[in-house]
Amino acid sequence: MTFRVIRPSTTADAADANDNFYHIAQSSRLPMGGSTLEYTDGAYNLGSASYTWNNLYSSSIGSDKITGSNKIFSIITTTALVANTTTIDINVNGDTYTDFKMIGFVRCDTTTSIRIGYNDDSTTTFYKHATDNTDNLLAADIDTNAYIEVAQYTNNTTSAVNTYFVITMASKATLKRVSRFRSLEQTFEEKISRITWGSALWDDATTTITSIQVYGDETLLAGTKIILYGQN
Amino acid sequence: MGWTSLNKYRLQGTITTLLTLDTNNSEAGSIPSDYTTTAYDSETYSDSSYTPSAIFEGDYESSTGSTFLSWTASSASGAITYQTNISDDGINYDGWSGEIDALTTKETTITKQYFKLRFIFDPIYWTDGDFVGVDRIGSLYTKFIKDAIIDANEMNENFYHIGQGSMLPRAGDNLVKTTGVFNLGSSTYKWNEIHVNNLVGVTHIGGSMNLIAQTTLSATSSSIEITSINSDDYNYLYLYTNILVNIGSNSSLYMIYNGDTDTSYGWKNYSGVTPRYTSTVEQIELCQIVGTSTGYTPVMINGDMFLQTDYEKYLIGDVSMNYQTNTSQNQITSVWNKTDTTLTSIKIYCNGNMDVGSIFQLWGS
Repeated sequence: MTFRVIRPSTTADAADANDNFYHIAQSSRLPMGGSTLEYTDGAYNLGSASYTWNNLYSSSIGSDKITGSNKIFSIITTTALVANTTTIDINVNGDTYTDFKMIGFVRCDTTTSIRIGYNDDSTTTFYKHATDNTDNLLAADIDTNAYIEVAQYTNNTTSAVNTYFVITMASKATLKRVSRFRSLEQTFEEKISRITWGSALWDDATTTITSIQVYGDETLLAGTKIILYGQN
Repeated sequence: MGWTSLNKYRLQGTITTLLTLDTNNSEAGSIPSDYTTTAYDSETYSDSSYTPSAIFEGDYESSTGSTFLSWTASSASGAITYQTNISDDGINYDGWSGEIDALTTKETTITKQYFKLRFIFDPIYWTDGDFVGVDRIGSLYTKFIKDAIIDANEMNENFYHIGQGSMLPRAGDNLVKTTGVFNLGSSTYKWNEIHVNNLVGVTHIGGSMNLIAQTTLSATSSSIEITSINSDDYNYLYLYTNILVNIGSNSSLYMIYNGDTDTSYGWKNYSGVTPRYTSTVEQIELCQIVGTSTGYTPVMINGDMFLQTDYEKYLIGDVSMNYQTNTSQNQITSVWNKTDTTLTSIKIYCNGNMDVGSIFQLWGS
């Protein structure tokens, strides 16, 4: 039912008065605005910073973002490639979060090295120390690059390579941006060829992270999926 | 209608404004003859030596079959409680309710047209400034009738009903309270911000990690399993276990999905020495367990899982174990190479027993 504006100095119909109450209070509570209390989207709040509700009882909450003193990881964005590309570029303000967590599934044609960069920074300010192993060979991998290499080449040129990685990254300026990552490479069917455990540092404590790049030495194929979470 | 049969023992003032203590009992009230409490009638505190410091009792008839009642009350060092006794006809009453703390609960809903109300001031712990007063008494909600005059009080009560105090989900002609049916906002019409101190009873927050399933063993078993999952409901999943494993001889802890024992798995793990790996096998080996007849080995697994239907399904995790005083760990990765299957269950099993209390959790976003 719609809201009916009751005119001054006129007799109001009881049904109109009833409907107005029902419009406001019956069923799901939707945000409303305007003289006829139309439904609105994303304009009004429940409570305010000065006047908070005490408890919210709900079986489920659908929200893009949760802020407050108790920190919760919540999703920032999901990127699922429907066409091949060289780089996935995610715009984000690192200072609104303390940490990022990125989950990545990357499809490539053959060999692959999966890299993560910030702000398109091309200087060699990323330091990495990782342990990786290919089949039963173990190696320490220390390097300085213009990116964090979360997964390295597996010497495979004959079949597709899938990479799954998880990386947690300190995001806020004023602290150097350290990160910890883990990855696996699946070179064919049921075989995992390489696993990597490592940490990295972006040696820049002052610049706000405004974008994150995910790319490889090969084209990222359709089907690649990147999920970015933030803790704020 | 309104208040009748008022009995104000050691109280002065009016119930609709404020009742305060009056040791002179100037209103000539008395302790109701049917008032009893456990302490009052106990052997320790006899009738003659132990009475309420003050008590109010009154009858009320409302214009409708239900009434909302709220009050203000204060007691610096003691307690004030309340009781109700309700009736459909004003003659036959249901009997007094138990005493409820009137300092923490300051409102109640009376479900019948007639009721009696008592406020009882604590026998021992009280101060001169103690008081109680009913600040609102009215109908829950009045549905207006065409061509009938609307009482201003009814209009006010209706606004109070929907606008005052906690905002509750309501439905029906009388806007009665409901639970678990209606939403705050919708996917099309969203609130912008919600400012709240506590989220209570929330089992799912969209976009965040939520505990979606947990299994705790109540009897020893060779396996622990989570079922009824739809992996497509989640962007990714996080696995956590803290299980107690006992096996007679050295063996492994395994995991399979959907009960699948095809040669569709590959795994690789690393514990600081030569990596162990295999492919095209019937299960994932999570770790190796030292055989013992002396006790259980706690095994904690933390793993990030990517399990959506159209993809190969991966686990990257860490395993920590304690065998007697020795601690070991390994890193585990695995693939389930089925790109057309929706994951519905995860089972971890061994060639021995898992003890009571073993926990297997699955978190999802």
